[in-house]
Amino acid sequence: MSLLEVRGLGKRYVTKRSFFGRAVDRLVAVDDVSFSVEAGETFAVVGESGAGKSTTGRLVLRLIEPDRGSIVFDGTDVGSLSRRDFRPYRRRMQMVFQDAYGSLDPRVTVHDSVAEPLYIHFRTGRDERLAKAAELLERVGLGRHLFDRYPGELSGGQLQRIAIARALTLNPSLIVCDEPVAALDVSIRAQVLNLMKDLQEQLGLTYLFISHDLSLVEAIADRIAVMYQGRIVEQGTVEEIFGNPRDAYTKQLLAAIPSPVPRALRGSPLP
Amino acid sequence: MTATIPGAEPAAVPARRRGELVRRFARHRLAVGSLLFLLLLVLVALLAPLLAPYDPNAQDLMARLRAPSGAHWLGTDEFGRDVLSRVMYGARVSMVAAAEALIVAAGIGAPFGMVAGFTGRWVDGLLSRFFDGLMSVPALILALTLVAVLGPGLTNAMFAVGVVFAPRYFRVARAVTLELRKETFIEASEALGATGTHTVLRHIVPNIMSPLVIQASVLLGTAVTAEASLSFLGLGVRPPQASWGSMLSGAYSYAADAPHLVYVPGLMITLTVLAFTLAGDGLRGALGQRTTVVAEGV
Repeated sequence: MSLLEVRGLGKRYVTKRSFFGRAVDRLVAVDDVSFSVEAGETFAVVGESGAGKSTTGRLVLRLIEPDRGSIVFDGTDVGSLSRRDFRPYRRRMQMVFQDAYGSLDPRVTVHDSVAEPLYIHFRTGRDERLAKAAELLERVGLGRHLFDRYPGELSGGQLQRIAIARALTLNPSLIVCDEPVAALDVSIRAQVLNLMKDLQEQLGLTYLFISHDLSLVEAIADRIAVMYQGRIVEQGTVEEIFGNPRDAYTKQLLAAIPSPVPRALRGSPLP
Repeated sequence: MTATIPGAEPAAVPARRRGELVRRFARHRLAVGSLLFLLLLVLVALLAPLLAPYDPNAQDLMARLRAPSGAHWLGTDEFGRDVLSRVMYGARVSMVAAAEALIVAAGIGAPFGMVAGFTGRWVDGLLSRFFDGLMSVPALILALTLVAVLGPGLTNAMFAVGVVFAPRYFRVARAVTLELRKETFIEASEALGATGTHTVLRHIVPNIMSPLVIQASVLLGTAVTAEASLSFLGLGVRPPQASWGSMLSGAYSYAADAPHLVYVPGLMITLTVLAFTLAGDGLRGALGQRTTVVAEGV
């Protein structure tokens, strides 16, 4: 059984209403999206901006309510639960945002931010939750002297480590990572990605990894779904997608990956 | 990786930022002066029984309408009461009345504004229409009605003023909450499994405090004017209790003979309103808020 199984997920937005409030024009953000994610794997959703990949991630976590489709998490149809009944499932499904700085309250120290989920779900006492948060912050490689800093005082890489630590506070099974390194310097990307890989191995995490960057996905994902205009046009293992792309859009996307050696020079001796 | 990029830090960093805030506020000379004036006023109001040279209600009909002199620094009024003492006691009335209006306005407006901004949809629509409607009620008319129903007295009148000011608080709270709602950390709070109540109390309230505090300074200034107007019209304090408005009201029939009776309370009202506005301006500058708020009449 898959950890996450999504069937026929759809979300439309009304972009124009008539004078009487009837919807006249709609934008289809996500259209009939189905995929399943196995426990312990990294499932990547790729596509250009506006393809609906971020919306898909948010629909899975019900940060946006889907119009149609089912979301089955670990055998439970979480998509049909009331928001209140869904809340306990949030412990097991967390999210890491692209904008690490924005995802942390600027008026809360990073130590308190990482400890907060324990208060939200278990009303854990302050000392106990700070102890657990300290453990996690050290695990993601943040020095103790930075624990009492505010988000505005730290760098992007540090903040994303903190956001990852916060996502781990509740021992989740699934983490939706929405472009977790897109906003980071290239030099720091590899560090954060390696951290994510290590954590996955140690904790048996499952990632739903959203990215527009195919070369990144090739490095981290086990399986890939390619989205275009709200639909999944192709999905398969990394080898299948990169080795033998069948969809025209996937081919285009692959062709657009910048190569360290420009195609024109390939095969010809270097000058 | 460990070093923060210089200049990349946002202007506002809490707690450690307090020193920075004071430093930036101190650059606004007028604001600092205004704040000192207001502090002095509060001090005088608190210590009026100790500081006042005379009993503010003691009449001396032999010494009516005296000009300022050594015995009566600011002269005496139509009943021979010491104007300085009455201004000091009047400061108490003004401060308490302004505070009451602020507490009522903020207490009603801010929570509903946050709920409207955070919840959105029909809740927002309903609350916004209600407060828009409330805004159209003239403060003085509502005060008159309330005084007619609940009986005369400054407390009832200022309660009415507070109710009429509530929509301004509602609007500010709603607008900043709406803006904040778009922030990723609010979405992140939901993703962590927080309830709306937790998100509002822990992440919205602390982040909308600055605009609310700025709004308070404007509202206090307006409330001082409102108290003066109400007392001038006889809806506020009852004689012989002194308030700046009631002093003006008593004084205007003698303006030709004893102009100091008009100047003293009039100047106090003007200076106080100006001080609240200027201090609020300085605070806004120090907090880096862009919205301009202007004191309005009632």
